[in-house]
Amino acid sequence: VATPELSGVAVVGAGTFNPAILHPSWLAEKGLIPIDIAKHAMEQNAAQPIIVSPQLTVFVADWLTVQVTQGQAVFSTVDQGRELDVRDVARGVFELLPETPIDALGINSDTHFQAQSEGAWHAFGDQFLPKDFWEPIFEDGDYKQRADGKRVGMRSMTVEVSRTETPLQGWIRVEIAPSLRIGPYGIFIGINGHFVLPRHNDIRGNGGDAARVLMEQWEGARETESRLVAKLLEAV
Amino acid sequence: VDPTPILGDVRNDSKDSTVASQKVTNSKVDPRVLHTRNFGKRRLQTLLQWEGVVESVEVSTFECRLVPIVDGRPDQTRIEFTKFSFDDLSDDDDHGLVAPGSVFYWTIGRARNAAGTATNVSLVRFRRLPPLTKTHSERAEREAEAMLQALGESDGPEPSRT
Repeated sequence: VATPELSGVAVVGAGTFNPAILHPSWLAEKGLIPIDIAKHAMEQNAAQPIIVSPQLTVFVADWLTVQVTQGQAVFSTVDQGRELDVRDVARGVFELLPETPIDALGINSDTHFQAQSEGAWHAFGDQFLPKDFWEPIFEDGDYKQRADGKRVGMRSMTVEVSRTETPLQGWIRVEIAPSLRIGPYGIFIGINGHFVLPRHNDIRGNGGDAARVLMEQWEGARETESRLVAKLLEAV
Repeated sequence: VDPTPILGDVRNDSKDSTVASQKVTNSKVDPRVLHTRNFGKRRLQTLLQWEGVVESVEVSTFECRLVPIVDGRPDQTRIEFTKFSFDDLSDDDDHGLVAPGSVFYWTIGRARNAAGTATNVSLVRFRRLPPLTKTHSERAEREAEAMLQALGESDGPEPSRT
């Protein structure tokens, strides 16, 4: 069984945001992040310069990455061990902006791991996307061959299951693709747990709803993600 | 000699202007190129993780109870008790958050920096949430009242607060 090389977590809100408010100083002033990591985000020679504007806010504060557009707020980390910290930052922001319209919430994870060989890498892709249909189509052309003689490889695959329960509709999407962060023979697993926030009398959900749904759904979503990743890693 | 402008910045279209424009114009802000941050091999993989609650606080230490977090869920059946020094906190800023009833997280993990150098880490940090607003407080009181009524204890003693 392979072990993850890299893994991260993200909480995503989809709605109508005011990116300019999400300044590192504001997060520190509200007590959501320590003052030292807010300063880290604002360092002039930081690896990624801070952008805070009405259209877009992007900054990296040590373990926390914040990216907010007018339609989406993403709080993420590449340090899986900081998953609870990211959840709490997102919850805090949503609670502090209770009137912000938010339509949906994503509890997401990404995992990168390495296959032992090119053969194992292709075998993983072949298991989830058999090439029986595709190989004959490209049999006669002048195409590069894999070491095992096949020509077709998997670039990306996404599967989806939709929840039936109401009022929290939504889905789980699992994407499998070659990893862009590790190589050679890196594999990426991206899991999107999407929750549609309930509407009240046709009024959109808000920050308060998003915070509540995040806390209610967090444990189940993370448990599902752990189970999915473990199952997929068994297939390497 | 340049004349001294008696009106300061006389332009009405500066970014600080509060004059309403006569027509909608394009943004005067130059576009900025956003570069994707390269985290390299940076990671922090959890080996063990607990959620803790402070029981008592001494001068430079605090005693607490812990429950392990397994696959994202706290296991409330496996309570452990231990003591931490303030020096164990990962952020100095957290000293002010140490109080009886405060929630914190303890993660033992394996970290790699962007270059891939690995270290074993122990992170103790306190949960950070915005202060309870009056609205939240009132809602919590209503929910508690409803729960007490459901349990048939509506006339019970006032619950203690932390």
